[in-house]
Amino acid sequence: MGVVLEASEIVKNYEISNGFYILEVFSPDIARSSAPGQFIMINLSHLHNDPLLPRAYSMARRTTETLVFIYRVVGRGTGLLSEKRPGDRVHVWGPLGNGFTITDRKAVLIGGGTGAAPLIDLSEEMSRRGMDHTLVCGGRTAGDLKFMDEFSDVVKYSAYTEDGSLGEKGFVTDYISNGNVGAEAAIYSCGPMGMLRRVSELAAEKGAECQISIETPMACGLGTCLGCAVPKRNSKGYYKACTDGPVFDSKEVVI
Amino acid sequence: MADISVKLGALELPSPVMAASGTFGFGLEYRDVLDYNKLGAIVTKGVSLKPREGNPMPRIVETPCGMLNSIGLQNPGVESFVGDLLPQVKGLGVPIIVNVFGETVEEYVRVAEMIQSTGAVAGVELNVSCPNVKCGGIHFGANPEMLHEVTKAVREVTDLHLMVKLSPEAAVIEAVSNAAEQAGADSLSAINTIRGMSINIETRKPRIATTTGGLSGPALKPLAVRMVWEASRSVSIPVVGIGGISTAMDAIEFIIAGASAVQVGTANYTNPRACEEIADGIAVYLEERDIPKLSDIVGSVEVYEDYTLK
Repeated sequence: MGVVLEASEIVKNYEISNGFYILEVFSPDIARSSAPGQFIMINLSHLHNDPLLPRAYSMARRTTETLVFIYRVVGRGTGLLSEKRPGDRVHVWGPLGNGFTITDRKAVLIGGGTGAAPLIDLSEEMSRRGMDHTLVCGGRTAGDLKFMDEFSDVVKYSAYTEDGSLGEKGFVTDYISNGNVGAEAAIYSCGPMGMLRRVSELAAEKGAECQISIETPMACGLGTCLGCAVPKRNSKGYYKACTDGPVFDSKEVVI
Repeated sequence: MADISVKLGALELPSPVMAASGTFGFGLEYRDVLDYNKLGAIVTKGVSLKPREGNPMPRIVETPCGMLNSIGLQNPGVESFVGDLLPQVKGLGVPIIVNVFGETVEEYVRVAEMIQSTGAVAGVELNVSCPNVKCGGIHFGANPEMLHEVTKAVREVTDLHLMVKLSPEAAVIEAVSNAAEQAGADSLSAINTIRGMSINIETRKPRIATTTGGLSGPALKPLAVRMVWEASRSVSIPVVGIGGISTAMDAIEFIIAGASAVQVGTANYTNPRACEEIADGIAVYLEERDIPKLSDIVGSVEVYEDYTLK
């Protein structure tokens, strides 16, 4: 199945903690045909002029009929999304992008903030396959990771918070630098650009494989706007985060 | 069913709705979500003689009712387009108009020659209005003499439909419209983006790596309608309206202003099915008002009799 475009009904949309929300939309076709690390575009309405553009969201969970997302209200677009109620419809298209490539190596999943979303999906998929793996998520405070409780039935994780209010005190990247990850590992990561940069550096130091999911400005998700360019590391030119990514081998991109 | 087919000179199109250059890739990207039978034509991303990497990030930013972009004409070059992409694109069954870009007159001519020789393309759209490149683009389109020179040179090497895409940054739209017509253009498309700027007030950095970018989307629409109206009054060749069209009503407004057809750009991002819905909506508009064919309302704006500025 290719890309599905539809007006999907919102099943749930509620606040978890200080501006973090869970959104669940009914979209069986996308749920069935997508994989961890892929994303969809969500537009509040086709006739909405301001804000104009759709937003890209990675799935945190795919049930048989629905897609679950985590988002944080940061601007007008997410603000308007947070006002939508169950039964309202949003325009969605997907699945888009490549998703993570699951390898046989010892899997370490490193998420920062809402960047944990695709790693929750990946963790659930790995558990389904009976793969041992570790999920580590970071935030500034415990409130930033409250959304993880919504997924506690299927994923277990270790927390790092900058203020020490949950789990270890420090940055999530400390998990790698503290000797938990070696050359035998495959790191799967998603989060803020600064964090991904550090994860990529540490992976190179340790000799570990490393896949990072990159968020960039993006207008279409389909490969036409060329707004989501990611510089190639080993040659000139750019990848497109939407169709070549959003997941890249950290050795192949400059971030 | 109302007749929404259009003729642009000798070029017959099944629908007045074309996908605008730079918003539709090379035509393959929307196959899963759009009924291509509703398209009049696909105007490709700009094609240059040599491959272009494009501009650094950030390249796009959302603005009120619009967006700025500065992609820098990233494209694989004409050789790769003709060899790798065109064979797939022509299988779509939709007329293809290739947006042609050059840094010099000679480059425009060489790209147009290669497009002409494929025999698989309905027309070329001369990109003399891109605001995001150092050489070429808008430098030709803002100046009537240079526009005449490049249009004439391309006209001499192609008998394909020759559409010239105007810039809103030309000082006098009538002058560039006339220059393109006199040089042998078969149609005009208006308008390309206009340069805009957006600044992050915390970092004081522009939100576009090249400082300025082209503004597109609904924010541009009234400006575009005005320029289509002005251009269509000053030439006898057809004008194709572009600029913030996201609904059938938007398209109809351009047509009443003087456009014989339209291109849909930024709306392809916000609604991948925009072209299809606009084409259907145009037909409904005509049927509901018992207008037999679209050409009946082209340029039918009824300006106030005493509209002249005092």
